[in-house]
This record gives sequence, structure tokens and C-alpha cells, in this order.
Amino acid sequence: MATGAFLPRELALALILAAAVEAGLFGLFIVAGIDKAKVTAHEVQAPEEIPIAVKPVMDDLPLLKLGSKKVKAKLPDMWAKQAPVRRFEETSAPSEKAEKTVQAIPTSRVATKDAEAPPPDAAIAKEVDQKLTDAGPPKPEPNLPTEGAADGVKNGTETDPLKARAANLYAAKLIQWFQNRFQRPTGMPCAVIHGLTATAQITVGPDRTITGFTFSKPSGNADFDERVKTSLQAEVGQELPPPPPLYPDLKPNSLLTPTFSGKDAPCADSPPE
Amino acid sequence: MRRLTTRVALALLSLSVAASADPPAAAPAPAPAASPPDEGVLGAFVVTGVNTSERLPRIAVLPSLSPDYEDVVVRGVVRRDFELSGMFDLIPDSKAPAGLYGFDDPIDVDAWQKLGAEAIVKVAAQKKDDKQISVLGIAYFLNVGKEPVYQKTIVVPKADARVTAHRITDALIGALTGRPASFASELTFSGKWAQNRRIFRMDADGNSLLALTDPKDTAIAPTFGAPGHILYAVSHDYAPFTVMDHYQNANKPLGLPFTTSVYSLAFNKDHSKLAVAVSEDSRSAIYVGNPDGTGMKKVSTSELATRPAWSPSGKLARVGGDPAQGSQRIWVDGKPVSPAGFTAASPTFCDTEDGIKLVYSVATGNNHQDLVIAAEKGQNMARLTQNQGSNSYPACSPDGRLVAFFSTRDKSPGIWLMSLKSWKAQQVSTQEGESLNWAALPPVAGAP
Repeated sequence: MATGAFLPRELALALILAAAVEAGLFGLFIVAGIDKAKVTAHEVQAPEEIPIAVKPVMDDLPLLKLGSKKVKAKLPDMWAKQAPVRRFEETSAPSEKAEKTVQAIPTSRVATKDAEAPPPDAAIAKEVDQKLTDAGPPKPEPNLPTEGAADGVKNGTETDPLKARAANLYAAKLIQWFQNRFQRPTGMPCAVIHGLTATAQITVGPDRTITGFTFSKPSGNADFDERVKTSLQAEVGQELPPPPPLYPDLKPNSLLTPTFSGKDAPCADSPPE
Repeated sequence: MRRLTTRVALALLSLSVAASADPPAAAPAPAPAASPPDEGVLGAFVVTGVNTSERLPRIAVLPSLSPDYEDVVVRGVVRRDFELSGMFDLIPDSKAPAGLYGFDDPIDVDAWQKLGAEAIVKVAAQKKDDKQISVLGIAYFLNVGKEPVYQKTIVVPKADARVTAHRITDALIGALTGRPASFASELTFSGKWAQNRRIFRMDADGNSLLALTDPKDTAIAPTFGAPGHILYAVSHDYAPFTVMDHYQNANKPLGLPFTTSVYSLAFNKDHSKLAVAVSEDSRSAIYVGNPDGTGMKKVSTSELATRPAWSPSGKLARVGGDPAQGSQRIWVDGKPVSPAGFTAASPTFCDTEDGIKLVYSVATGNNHQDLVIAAEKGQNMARLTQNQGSNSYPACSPDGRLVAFFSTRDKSPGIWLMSLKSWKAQQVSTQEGESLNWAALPPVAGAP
């Protein structure tokens, strides 16, 4: 038979205590209910409508439209040196209108004979150390009968800056093509090889194929000339790089005149590259 | 008669001698007819044999402070394209001078010149209405003046912001170099998908990857046909590979007179000829015919003949070989051109700034491949890759300036682009696969 955890009198005592707590709580509610403090709602008084006279102000001016000034994308103007302001030195000259008082006697020096009067809005200084010549009106933009660029040169022929740039790039590519095919001699003394030059003439066909060459001016050094001749012989029959597709009319000259130089070649008495 | 002829000849000779000995002083000889001046881009120049790589022009792509989505997209795409081109030394955004960089704000040219900029590129986009955007592209050469040398504003649908940015890049690079770029283009390749292979396409910068074929099929060897068409070989349930034409989200069979498997195919430059590699009696052969599959004639003679590729000038390259030779080589117009003893694959042609080049891969051992470049007929071979993982399946950009290929370099396998000018390679995708091809997007009216 299982033994109970609590004695009957303990259970009874617990019930009595619980009933006392519940009764106490109930008593507190009763005490709170008999409190005489009462809350009354105050009605908020609505504001009275007071009519006022509104007099519209007529404005005939058009309203500004929201927006901004449309500025065409453009680089800012290049800074230009301002023309120097010519200043005139204060001078005095005899005048019939001059007052005959001591205070009216001018303190500045007397102007030279037949000197012209300065313009009415001229800048006057007590003393001008250096006479500046008037730069005159600003230089107008060139207005030439031919199309071109403001920074162009008289002998220039290309009016399209994009094409001019493409032509420069193409020329660099063609030169690199020849550079890649020239095997420089090695092992010569620096004093010798750096002074060697040899000139040739290369003929180019309309399809950019190298058709032939003449060795017009050998260097006189057999080894160097042999290298030049070997590279030229290997180039015959080969096709030069094509022009950029946007400018198919660009082409190398039909007669090219390369000068082969040993100035940058490694030499016997210089450290290896 | 003979004596008379001799006398006449002697008389003419004496006259000519007299004329040369005593020319009339009063009548000067007529000046030779003036020949037209030779106005080529190169005449006299110095050759030192110094092989210097071409200097990369330093340019600025202006930053943008606009929070507009379309401006961020367009500017970001253009900047990325310029980086991928490998043709320019781009000034970093972090070095940009302080200032306003709005759609219409002027440019502080002095500040950019101090940073060494030779050219300035500005791109911007702004909303025009709910469906359209305005895209602006401007280029300045600082040595030319303050006026832009290129300026274009176009209005396009909002959804075309990315492709329009690519087209603006192409036009700007065209203005800077005389040769437009080709970032408005797409790549296609065959990639593994579970147990099968599917055909994928993506933009040239690696964006917008899309699978075009059913994952239940095995699809290989995609190639570009007429603008907008991608053709490929597909097999369903182990049936022989047949050719399908993908166009405007639909796949239709291309009627070819072959009952055996088609391994690969290629169109020539103007899409007037089609070359097809087919299985034939345990061998392979290449046939050439009309683009619709008619008029096919066999052009190969070797036991192995596959992977046809056309050069822009009409030459046909292929992989050919015989088991007796121990290796497969690249053949151009019926002659082997790749080095003997090396297994070569994946020939393609690049229409580069230096002329047409042949690019292919060569097995280098250890299950690796490397890319080589040669002249159109195979001579003057040089390596494009070495000791940089395995590099395979080259494809050239339509402008011939970039080579795309699958590479395992830098422990980051995927699709890489290499500039043929700066030799710099950059990864654009982590997708792995084979049979890479590259073509321009179909042209659109009003494009820059």
C-alpha cells in the first residue's frame, strides 16, 4: 500500500490557507469598488468657423517651367591668357578752365607736348613703371575657306580626327610588322653596330603584298647587310596587315623606304638584354 | 630590202645622236608628267628590330554618380567591355577627379589630362518614359580639342539597356581605333547537364546564360547560321545525331541527306556554304553543299575528317588524320598544317588586325591542351597559352581581337577571353563545356 505524500491535516491546512488568500483578494476588489473617485469625460468644444475675405492676387506673369538649361555636352573652353590692361600715367596739361588757386595746381608731372589725351574710361595710375602695349581685341576663331581642325597644320590633309588617329595607329602597326621581321646581328662591338644604317626600297602591290626590294644604300658591314637582305627576302610575297575596316582606303605607300639601324642592337661590350 | 632597213636605222641613230649632242637651247625639254603624290600612311621609316608590344592607350571611362538603374547598367556594361577588350589602359574609377558626372555635366579636361588620359569616353542613360531610355555615348580625343569626336544618343526599349550598352562600346572602340568592337555578340557551346549535354548561349561578357535544348537529349557541336540561327547535332534515346536549327525559341530539323550521325557543321562567312562532318563506315567524312543541306559533295580524303571551319577568305580547315600516323592534325584546303606528332583539334579562324589567323588546340600531355596561333595557311605558328592549365575549344570574336576558350587555369575552370593585343586573359563564365562558337548579334536598325 502506497503511503501518501502529505498528512490529512497538512492538506486541510493548505485548503484553509488557499481559501484565505482567495478571500483576501476578493476583499481587495470590494474595497477598490467602493472608492468614490470617478472619471468624467469632458466634451471638447468644436472651434467656431469664422469666415474671412480672400482677395486673389492676379499675376499676369507666366510661370517658370520646371526644368534646366539644356547644355550640349562640351569640354570647357581652353584657358586663354587675358590681354593686359593698358594703364596711363597721370599727367597734367595747361587748360583754360583751370582755377586760379593754389589748391588747383596739379601735383603730377606736365604732359609732353602734343601728347594725346587718354580715353575717357582709361585706367589711370600715379606712376606706370612699364608701358604695356594694348593686346587689342581677342583673337578671332580662324575662319578658313577649307575644312579642318583648329589645331591642325597648314600642310595637313586629313579633316577627320578619327581617321587621322586610325591612320597613325595603322602606320604604327605596319612599322611593327617590319620590326618583328628584322633579326639584328649580335656580338659586334657597340661602337660598330650602333653606327650602322642601311636603306632599302620596298615595292608594295595594290593588294598590300610585298612584290620586291632593292638594297639602295648598304651599311658596308657584311654581317649587318646580310641580315637586312635576309629579312627583306623573307618579306617578299607576304601581305602587310589590312587597314582598319572603317577606313579601307588607308594603305601603305607603293614604295616604302625603310632604314635599318643597329642603334638599339645588343652589342659585345654591353650587358645582355 | 635589208640594206634599206639598215640605212634607215643608221639615219635614225645619227639623228638621235645629233639631237642629244646639241639640244636646242630655246626650247626646253617638256617636264615629265607629274605623277600623283603617293599618299599612303607609311613611306620612310626606321627599323631597329626591337620587338616592342604596342603601347596601350590610356583612356578614361567617366564614372557616374547617377542612381538610375539604367545608367548603372549601361555604364557598368561599357566599363566592363572596355576592360575585357584588353586594348586600353583604363584609369581606375578611384582616381577620378572630384566633380559632377551627370548626363549633361561638362568634363574637367585638365584634371583628366593630368591623369594621363589620351581619350575620354562618357556613357550615360536616363529614363525617357515608362518603356524607353535614352542612351548617350561620347568620345573625346584630348589632343584634338574640346569638341567630341564621336557623339550618339539613341532611344531604345528599357529591356535593351544591356545590348545597347554593348553596341555603344562597339561604336566607341570603332571611333577610337577605326575598327569597331564586337561585344554585341553571343557565344554558344555544348555543356554537360546531368548525364547528357545541352546547348547553351550567353552574351559575350558572360551574362544571360540560357539553355536551348531539352535536358533529355544529348546535343553537341553548336554553330551559328544565318543571323539569329544556332544549329547543332542532337541525339534522342541513342539515335544517330541529326541537325536541328534553333531560331526564335523554336527548334526545327534541318533536312540533310545523311542517315548516319552528324558530328559537326560550319557555315562560311556569307552563309552560302555548309560543311558537315558525318560518320561514314566507321570513319568520318566532310561534305560541302548548300546551306539548306542540298547539293552535298564529299571533300575529305583522310580516314578521320571532322570539325570543319571556314576562313573569312573561303579556306576550309578541318581535323584530319589516319590512325597509321598516330595523331590527328589540322588540315587547311587539303594539306596538313599543324605540327606532325601532336594531336591537334578545334580549328577556327580569326579575322585579326594583322590579317586572318588560324587558331587551334594541341595536346601537350598530362591530358592538357594548349592553344596555338598561326597564319591562315598554318605557317609562323606561335603558342597562345603555356603552363596555364588545359586550354581548349578556341573561338574568335567577330572583330578578331579576342579569343574565347575553355580553360582550367587559376583553379577556376570556365570560359576565358584573351586579348590578342595585350595577351591578357579574363574569365567571363564558370561554365565548362566544348565546341565554343562566337558570332555577332543580328544587326538592328538605328544602332550606333
